[in-house]
Amino acid sequence: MSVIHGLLPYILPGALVTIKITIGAWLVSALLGLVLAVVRDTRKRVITIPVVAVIEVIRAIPPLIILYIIFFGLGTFHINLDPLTSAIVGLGVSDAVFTAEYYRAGFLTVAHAQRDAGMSIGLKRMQVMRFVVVPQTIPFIVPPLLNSFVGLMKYATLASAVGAPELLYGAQNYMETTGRVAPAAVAIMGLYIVVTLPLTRLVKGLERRVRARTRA
Amino acid sequence: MGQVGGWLAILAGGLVVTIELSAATLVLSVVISGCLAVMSISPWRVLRAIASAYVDVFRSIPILALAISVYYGLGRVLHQLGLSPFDTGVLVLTAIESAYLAELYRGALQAIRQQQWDAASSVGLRWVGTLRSVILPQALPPAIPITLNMTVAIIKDSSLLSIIAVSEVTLVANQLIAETFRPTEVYFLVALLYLVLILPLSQVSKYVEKVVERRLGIRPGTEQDKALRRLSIEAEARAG
Repeated sequence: MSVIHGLLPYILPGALVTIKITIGAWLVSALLGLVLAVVRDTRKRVITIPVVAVIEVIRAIPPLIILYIIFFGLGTFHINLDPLTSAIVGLGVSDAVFTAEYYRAGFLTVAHAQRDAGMSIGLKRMQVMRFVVVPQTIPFIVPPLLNSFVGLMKYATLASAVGAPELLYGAQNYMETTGRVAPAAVAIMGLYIVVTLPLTRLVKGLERRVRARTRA
Repeated sequence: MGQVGGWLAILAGGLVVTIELSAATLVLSVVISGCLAVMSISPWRVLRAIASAYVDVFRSIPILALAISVYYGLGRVLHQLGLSPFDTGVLVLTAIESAYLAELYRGALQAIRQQQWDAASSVGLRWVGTLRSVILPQALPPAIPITLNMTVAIIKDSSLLSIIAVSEVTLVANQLIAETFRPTEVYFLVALLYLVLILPLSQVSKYVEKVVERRLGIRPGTEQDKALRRLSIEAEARAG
């Protein structure tokens, strides 16, 4: 009992920061991903080629390096972000390139004839996206976006590398100050299992339902 | 410019370790996930339960959390066993990546229709025989692009082991920065090195995926079908 009592001050504030990072990075990822996907969807090569290049490049770089570039590297350009913001931006950006692919795949599920139909009643391209394509892709996008949320929850541990006091940072702090590793290790891994496992199951279930609906 | 050349030479040393680390992890992961995937479709409940418990647990734990727990908690034991940080890194990374890969392999195995199993059993093949001579040969080609994608994921995730003193390229970069105080330039160089390593791999993987699809005529489907499939493959292939 006293072990848990000693652990809580290290774990609880960390959990809060992990939640902040996850939600923040998820919002960055979901919004930036949508923007990238819509921009990529234009037929103009001048626009699509650079966007595809940026997506491919960021996809190939480990999130930790992107995080380091944002936290340590942007100082050269007189941009100084605190650890929490760096983590949100860094993890968000590195996830957004994957989210963009989900949106794109989602767009492809809408038959092209629908776009033509939209154009034929005088909608602009952006209006077609907004009123015709995007609303129909929402059910397809929900499972991967949730999956990305779960993924970011795990990736939030990277924030400890730039000193954001999230869960792992707290656990590591406990290990170093008390010299006891097992309680913190069990707590953090147990917590992650308890939280992410049901969410992963939920995503799986949702995905199956979406698929079943499209087959029907 | 000469300075950058010197940095590149130092970083290249780290990149070699990154490659060795990823290669060792890949080989071990392929073997372990192959076993886990076969266990998960086997008719024996105990084996299925073991496989699914493994996958559930190790897909839920962040790599860094496991790495730090092992490093702090078992450091002395591992040292006594003669395991270097490199070995520890391979073990940690393998434990987690093989859980993700097992799930992907299982998908490849389950994509083979039930009729194939039925047909094999009607000509008198038992489970092991069916698996070996009917199911595995068909599941192997789709497993190739899956494995290539996983290789990319492993290389990227190996950067996390810099935190537990594995001297791969990210750690070498951090050491270089401690000497030069030039984080921007060094991290951009590291990013470039990862690009050089990963971009060709991911292109090859895309190409192989297309070839496999075309050759085997697996689920040719419409543009919509493909898009749907992408949505879930992408969702599976990322560790954390």
